[in-house]
Amino acid sequence: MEYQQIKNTFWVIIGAWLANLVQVSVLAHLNLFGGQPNLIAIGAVCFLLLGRTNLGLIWIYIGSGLFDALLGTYGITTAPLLFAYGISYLLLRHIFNNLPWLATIIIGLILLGSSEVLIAIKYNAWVQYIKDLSFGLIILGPLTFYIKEKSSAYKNTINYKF
Amino acid sequence: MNPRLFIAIAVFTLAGLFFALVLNIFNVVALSSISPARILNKPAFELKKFFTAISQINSLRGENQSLKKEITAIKKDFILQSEIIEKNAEIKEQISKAQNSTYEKIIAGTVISRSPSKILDSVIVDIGSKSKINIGDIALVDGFLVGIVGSVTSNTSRIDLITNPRILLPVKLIDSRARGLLKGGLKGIEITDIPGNIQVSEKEGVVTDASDSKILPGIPIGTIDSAISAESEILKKFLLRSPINFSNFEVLVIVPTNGIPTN
Repeated sequence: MEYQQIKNTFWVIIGAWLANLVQVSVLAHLNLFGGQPNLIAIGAVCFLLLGRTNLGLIWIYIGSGLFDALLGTYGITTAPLLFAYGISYLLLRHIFNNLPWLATIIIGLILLGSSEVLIAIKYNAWVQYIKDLSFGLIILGPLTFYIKEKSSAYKNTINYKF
Repeated sequence: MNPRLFIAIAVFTLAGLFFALVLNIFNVVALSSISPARILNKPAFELKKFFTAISQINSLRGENQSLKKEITAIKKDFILQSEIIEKNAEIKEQISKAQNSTYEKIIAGTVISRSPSKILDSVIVDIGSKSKINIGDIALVDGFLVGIVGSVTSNTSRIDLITNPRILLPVKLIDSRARGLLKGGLKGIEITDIPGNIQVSEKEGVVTDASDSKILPGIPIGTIDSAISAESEILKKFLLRSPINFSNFEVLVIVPTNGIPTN
């Protein structure tokens, strides 16, 4: 492992920890539309759109693992988020050519939605789920637009047809 | 007296008087001639002050910044002190309320963070196994049940609030003596499984029930708010109203499982 990779990994771990701190403090009190979106999922969207897939995986493992530990149920957000991350990666690589902005929003919603889907199913908490998605979408909209403008990670990928 | 000496003294005296007179006149003339300077003096003084101020700006800026820092530090100290006083008052209030509820042992804790998900509502407090907190201990705010300890580390504990859908507690209604189950949820706290033949009145008090040995009996939870089940249903459902604002409290007390009420 190169020095730069170790450094990036270190900062991603620190970032995931900080995201959890923000999640349980600022976001827990903010209550915009009564929602509390998953920052780890939003962060994963950024890594995916920036083409830093490996760092995104570390982000999810550490951040979502900590998230689950705080909830007291291991894997309840990590597992679906990892699954959605994989699916989104495939979508980005093979279907969304040139990455339109709407596609980034869809990818964001897939990841954000997946992170809480098991909790929503288990406790039948769909109203809160929608509220969390609404709040998350407000953050995702400008964020993905900015990243899409800055990133060229997926601009020259092959466009498969089903 | 020698007349020549007398003449010499007289001459010198006259000469002295003459020079004194001349010098005085000069002085008066000089002073008088300078008086128009007062017209220029004021603006010159102001100008000097201006240039002095310019020359002092750097040092004043430094001084201002150090004063600002001092004020900030004092403000911070003041806020911290106020916060400590507030916290102490709140802790004292919580302890006195819990002591009135006659529990043998209570431990006050401060909320350090909240749940990362709104669905599974919980708080994390700054007391853990070092303070003899165990899983299943109850948490009170103003003497009302707010949650149950879900997990414990040495210095922190996670308290699952009764609004959390994971919580399922046996409860008793005070007037009708009906027994039911408390279930947390986003629609509110529900009291379920109340037999349909029992008349339940609104504002009826709800307390914990002894049928679950893990939870202390007789702890106030809230009052019945409204029925949410149909009249025809065999088992009725009610919404519970708690006087506690679950998203706002900062301090709570935990009653360890051995803290059984003394009366």
